[in-house]
Amino acid sequence: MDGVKSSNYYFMLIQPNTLFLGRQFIHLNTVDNTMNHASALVAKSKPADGALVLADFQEAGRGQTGNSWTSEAAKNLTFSVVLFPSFLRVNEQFYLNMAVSLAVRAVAETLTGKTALVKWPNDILLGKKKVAGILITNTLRGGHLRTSIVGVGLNVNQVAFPPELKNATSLRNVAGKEFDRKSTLEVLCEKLEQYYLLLRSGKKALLKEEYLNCLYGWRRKLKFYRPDGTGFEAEITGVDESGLLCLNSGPAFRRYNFKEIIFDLG
Amino acid sequence: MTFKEIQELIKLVNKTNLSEFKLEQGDFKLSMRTAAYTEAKTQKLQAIPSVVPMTAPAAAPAPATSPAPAAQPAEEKPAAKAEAEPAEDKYVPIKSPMVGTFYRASSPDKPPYVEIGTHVKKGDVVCIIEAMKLFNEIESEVSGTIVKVMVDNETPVEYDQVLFLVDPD
Repeated sequence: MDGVKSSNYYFMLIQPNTLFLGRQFIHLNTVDNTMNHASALVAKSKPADGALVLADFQEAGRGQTGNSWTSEAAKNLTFSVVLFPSFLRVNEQFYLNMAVSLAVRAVAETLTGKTALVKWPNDILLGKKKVAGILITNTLRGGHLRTSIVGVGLNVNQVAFPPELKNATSLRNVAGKEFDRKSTLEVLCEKLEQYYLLLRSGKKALLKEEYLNCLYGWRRKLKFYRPDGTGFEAEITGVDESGLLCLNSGPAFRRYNFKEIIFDLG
Repeated sequence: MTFKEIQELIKLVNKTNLSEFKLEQGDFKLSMRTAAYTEAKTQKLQAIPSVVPMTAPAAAPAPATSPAPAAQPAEEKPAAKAEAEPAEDKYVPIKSPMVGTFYRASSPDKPPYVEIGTHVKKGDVVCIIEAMKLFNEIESEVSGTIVKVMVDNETPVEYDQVLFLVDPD
């Protein structure tokens, strides 16, 4: 096995078939969370574009502000990638979200052989269960993005989930077999780079088309909840330039912000 | 909005004693200032005992069909600028570069990035604007001291909305 054993701990070495993504690779045993580690890296040194920080255990894994992300040690892949998308204007940042979501979705589908979809804005579903989450933090400069730290948490080999995560699943639970984390991470690097390069070459329409095609509930009647608990049926008709979810509930057509709407995954 | 509708609106605004009118519908923004606006402004300036050479009021009563009859030169810079300015003008605003939700800290259990009195350097993160689960760290473009926080935590902000006032070094 190509890895390094250090003080009774096995460190992975990855060799993704990429130009830059994951070529600089930092594997940590335990860290508060990889987002913090990656932003500290940006602040203190000059990491390469595509530098990847992987942690086997995050003491304070981050979901969206306030939500914590729990993951069993060394079962899954929790990592952050440093990117410098200075070609993107501030109001184009949802395209980065589309590119990353599509990459992780593609990996989930390829490895399990089952249809994977994106639940707006960026959860990855296998069936109706969440297999991966994405968190993106940007710094801005002069109307453009300066750095983006893309955090991905993919459930790989975890079998049991705490009751509060009843909607969680893993590649293993869906495919019925164990996955090699190293090669899974390499495939992730390759897909992330592939979609990021599409974005960098300006293929925004293509990304949006594929994003809609892979969007859970697109052009289908779905049940939604408002934050006050009231439910309604609507069809997702699209996503606007800023990423707002466009819903047609029959009498009304409206755009929704994240946190204005909750999906009913049944 | 059609050209005709804009015309109607201008007529309507002219009939009122409004000094300023702003309308926003999605990406469409319209703002009008009437003669009353200039009057109000000059009155305020004249209250200060100083000789303010009036820039010729460009408010020639335009025909109502003109697309912008009430349009005034936006900047009427009087000579007695320094005296007329309120003290806040020496403060530099930090504005929101985007529409989103304003967060003062990186997570609810963390202290705010800045408080009133915090000294920031150019490039220091002062807040986060979140939109569609994308988190944007907003950096200060000046070095100075935060003198005012203009927005409440976890509330929506508009593009170009002032978030903080900084007393520059």
